[in-house]
Amino acid sequence: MGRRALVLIGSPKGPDASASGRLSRILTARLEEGGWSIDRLSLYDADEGGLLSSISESDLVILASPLYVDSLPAPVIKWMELIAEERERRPIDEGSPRFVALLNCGFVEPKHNAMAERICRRFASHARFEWYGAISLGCAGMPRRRIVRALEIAADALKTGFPVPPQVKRLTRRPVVPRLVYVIVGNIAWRRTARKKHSLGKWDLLAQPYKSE
Amino acid sequence: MAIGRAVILDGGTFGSAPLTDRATGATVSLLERRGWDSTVFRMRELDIAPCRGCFDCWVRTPGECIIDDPAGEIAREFVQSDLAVFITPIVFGGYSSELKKALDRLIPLLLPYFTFVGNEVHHVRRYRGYPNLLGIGTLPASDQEEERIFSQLLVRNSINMYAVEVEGCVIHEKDEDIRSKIEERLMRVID
Repeated sequence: MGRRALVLIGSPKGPDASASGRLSRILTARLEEGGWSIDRLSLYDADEGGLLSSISESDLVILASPLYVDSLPAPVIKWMELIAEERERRPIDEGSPRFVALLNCGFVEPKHNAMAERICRRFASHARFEWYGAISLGCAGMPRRRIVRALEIAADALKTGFPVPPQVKRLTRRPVVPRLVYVIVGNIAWRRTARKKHSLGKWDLLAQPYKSE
Repeated sequence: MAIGRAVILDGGTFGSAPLTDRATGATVSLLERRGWDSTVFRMRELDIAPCRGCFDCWVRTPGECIIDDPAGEIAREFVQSDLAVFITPIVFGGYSSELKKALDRLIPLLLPYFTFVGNEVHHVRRYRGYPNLLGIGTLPASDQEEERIFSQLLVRNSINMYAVEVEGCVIHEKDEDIRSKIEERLMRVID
């Protein structure tokens, strides 16, 4: 019988328009080649019954999420609270799907995800999942060759029943672009977006609407 | 005239409310005794939409979220305060979804631009000053790993939110004197 993976998308932009969705597809493409079937659910429009039963039917659960304020987005935490509460009530001998966190942040350094990784690990323990590791990416999940390679290595391990190997951490922990370049190019990109899309100049972006009188 | 101004974000959930409510009450009363004004936002009573990740608060309406709900008032109060207090049940080491729904909507308080802070890249501050930070987490019983995550998360938040001082305090259900516990940490961020 084929194995099943469930991808939970933690980005409000959904599975198709988000970095979380795109990165998870690189990971799951390799699983599909190995005969796995893949389900995808956005945590922004999932229903409780459907989500919980999908989890129970899965061998592997992948949470693909952006980093919001050093942690996971509020709606993702809401689901984690609910899933853990529900699964803690279930008989202890019920199966434990494997759980992997695939995190991306908008900062250049992936280490900003460290707190979210540890929160995911504790969640896995509360929800009686088997912790199979985290893949932590910076630069808004920019899929450079080294990152794609890391995701493929992770997928190869997962599909044969092993956790995310240490090699993945070694490949992903360094920024994929030089930090100064990311800062300069990123700052230019924000100014350009504001000017082109909203006709705002660079001084407009510095507004302080909540400044004390 | 008040000596200082505090904003208290009470992220208690219905399950954790007995303890988080006590923590909120004790914090308000301790601040009042020292001549501080406090504004309390009880997150579970507020309808706050999740952040959409659209970045319009950076490039379309700079400094303000485009969603019109109480998160705007919380952001205003936050940046105009001298102290922000996060009160939350500790959930997997982090904050409750109730508290987090407000924190996710504080990103307009920063600029989109990147800069180096210490040896890391962070967003540039939008305002000159930001409040000090006190986190009060509640747990049914001691859990060293979750308490460690909680205190480190507060430190990470303080870097991103440009808090000069940050303190954390964990309260357990069996603690009888939570007031003294909070007072000890509170003094470090208001003195």
